[in-house]
Amino acid sequence: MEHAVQIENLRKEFKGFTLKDVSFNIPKGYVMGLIGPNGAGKTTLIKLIMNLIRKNSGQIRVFGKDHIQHESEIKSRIGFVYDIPHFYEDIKLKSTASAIAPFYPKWDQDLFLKLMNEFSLPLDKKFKKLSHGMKMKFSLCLALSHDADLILMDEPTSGLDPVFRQELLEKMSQIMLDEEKTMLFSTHITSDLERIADYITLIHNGEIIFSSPLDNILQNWGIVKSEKDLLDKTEIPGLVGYEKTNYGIEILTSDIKTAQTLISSDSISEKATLEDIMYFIKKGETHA
Amino acid sequence: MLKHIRRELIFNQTQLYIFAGYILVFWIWIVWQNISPRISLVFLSFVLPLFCAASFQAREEKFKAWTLNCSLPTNRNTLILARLITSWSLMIAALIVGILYSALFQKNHSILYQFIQLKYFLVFLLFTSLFLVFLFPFVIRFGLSGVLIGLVVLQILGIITLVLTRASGSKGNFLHTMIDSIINFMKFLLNHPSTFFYVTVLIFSVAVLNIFTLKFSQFLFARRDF
Amino acid sequence: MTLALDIKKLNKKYSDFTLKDISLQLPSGFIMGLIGPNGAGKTTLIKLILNMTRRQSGVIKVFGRDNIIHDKEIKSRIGFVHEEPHYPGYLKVKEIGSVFSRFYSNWNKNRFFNLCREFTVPENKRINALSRGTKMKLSLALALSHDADFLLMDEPTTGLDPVFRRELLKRFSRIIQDEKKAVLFSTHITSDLERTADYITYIHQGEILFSITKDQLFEEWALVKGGNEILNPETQKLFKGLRKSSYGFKALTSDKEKVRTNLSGQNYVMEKPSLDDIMFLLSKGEINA
Repeated sequence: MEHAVQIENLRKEFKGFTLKDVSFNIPKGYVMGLIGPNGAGKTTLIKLIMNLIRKNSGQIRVFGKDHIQHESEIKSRIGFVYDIPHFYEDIKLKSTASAIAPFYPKWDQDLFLKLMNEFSLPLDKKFKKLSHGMKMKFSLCLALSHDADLILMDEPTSGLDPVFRQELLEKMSQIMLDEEKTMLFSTHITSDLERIADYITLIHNGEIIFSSPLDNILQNWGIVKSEKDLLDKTEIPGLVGYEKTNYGIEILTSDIKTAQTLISSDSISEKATLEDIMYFIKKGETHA
Repeated sequence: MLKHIRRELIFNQTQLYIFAGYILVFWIWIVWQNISPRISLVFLSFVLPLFCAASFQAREEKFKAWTLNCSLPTNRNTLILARLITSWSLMIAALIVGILYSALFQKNHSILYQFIQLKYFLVFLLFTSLFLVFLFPFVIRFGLSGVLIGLVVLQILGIITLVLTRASGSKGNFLHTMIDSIINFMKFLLNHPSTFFYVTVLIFSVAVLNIFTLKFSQFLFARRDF
Repeated sequence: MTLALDIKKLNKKYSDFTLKDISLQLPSGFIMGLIGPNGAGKTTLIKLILNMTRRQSGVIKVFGRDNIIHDKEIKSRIGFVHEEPHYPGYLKVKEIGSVFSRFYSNWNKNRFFNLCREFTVPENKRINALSRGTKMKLSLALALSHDADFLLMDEPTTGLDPVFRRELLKRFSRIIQDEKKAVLFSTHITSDLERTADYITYIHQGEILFSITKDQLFEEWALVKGGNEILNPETQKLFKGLRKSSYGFKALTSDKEKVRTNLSGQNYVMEKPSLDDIMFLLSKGEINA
């Protein structure tokens, strides 16, 4: 399987936070969702790939090439959408587009105009006059206008209403149809990912907790609920975290199938959503 | 490189309009008040780098646009080179505006005659490059806030020097001596006969200063995390 | 039942947008979620309640008191969070806390610092050095530190991770337990509302399309899916929003029973709608008046 992005033993130190031993791959032609609590390292990771931040050690290969040695070449194939706007605010949208277009050999001006129209973005308006949602849309528009092979997005849907998010996700699915493009996007809105992602990487405190196909996660992870205190009697396989509620106990396991066979009589089991997983991992921390 | 210069010009449009207005007013004033071309030369070599190099950097910082610029298919060294080339192009353009204005509207064409001479033109380049060598890397490393802090620090140092020398009771002081020697140096350069050797030294110095500015700035910029 | 918020026929006109005849009620002891597309009027409505902008006509009463006449008194009881928090960047977190303490008689310094710690907002950092999410958390800490009776928040959860959001919503639920307080917040993250809100108000292009309890919403509204043969001018009147594709249609009705009666015998499926479905079909589907 070809990988669009390969990350090996990546390390970046800040004062008070370290990204360590980060290794995972993004297979070509798929959508990878990146989740994790605020401050876990999602934005740092994306910035490291784009070499906006210098790594301390480790390797990042994009399209099989080292991301620093072939920086310029690789970036001509990457579309990016960051969480904080980074455009010159007093410049018109069409001027900004015109300034960056020559940098991309595959820039498609007709496609750009079409997308601007689709997103209802006025070409003649200055960037600062746009609402937050429109700023995001503009970022996305630019990222999609040069036939990028890799699209990196850092919380692209934050602040967008559900209707537009759905349209966006539909558009992203459309883009992914040709199976040549790869997408990495980080978000806090896990329900969006459950709709579109093929793979999920969870990052927490600067470390990768898991990086697997979404289907696997949804099949193998689950929540066991019981009125009895199951932890007293049984060792739950794959225990990640638990919460004591008014009704009893809720436990998240990464191996629901085995867990079910052990305690089916005393409990019910449910599918875990990505949000549940994040929640219980955090709980697991506090109990540890 | 052309696409880089174009990018810099588009992104800093609003600043350029202000700059153009300022330059026009400047030349009109110089001619109207009959200010010596030499003084205008010194003044320009101080003001232009601030307008052209520092302000672009400041805008990039204000809008956090380095995230955009560094994400484009290019590398950081090229970005710095582009900024330096664009700055110089604008500075030379400002000079040309003055020369043209003088040619058209100044009765004695003193400015035109001054700057058209190779020696004076090169001295202008030298003064500007000298200032740029400090300003450009400094702004890249410390940003505009760094410049402001730097100016405040300089002022404080100046005040301390004055106070100390006054307290010590000596007539002359270090600050005066320094300023005097700078002015003397500048006069020396302006007055030196325009020999082939001198011109060569000037060209060489300008080149060396700018190459140093470029390399040092690239080094500093490459190390920054955005 | 006291009304924490009582709005009657509120009108506000801007040059390119109008908030028309807004009426809604929120009883004390409940949580109301405000949803709607970008630009629908959510922020304007919140600003009007806070008297930050002047209305053309209508009445806004907070805990029974007119929000203009009793402006100061009401504001001292409201904990607010704005969509994009603007604080003087050069102030440190603990300093803004001290600024706020001057305005609120019930300011609880310990609670503020405890919340900052719990939300991991570093008290000695300058506000302009905080990330967007952390600034939002600071906003929340400030709003929650003066024992406010009414929490009024404009997208308080944008940019916050799901775990934090879940804890925050639980906190809101705990706050209203005494039945004297109320919470109103706008959000784009509908799953949060489905979990916590008692009332849901939907604003679209300056008008309220519905403002009812969540229970009522899910009891009376439904998603109807079926083949395109079912659709004709008569049946289309049953739906508030409709989306056709080559495989069939997806429609929204606010009257389940009516649909059951009118479409009896036909081949269709009725499902519980998610808030996302509702929003999508109301704004993107062809709407029937």
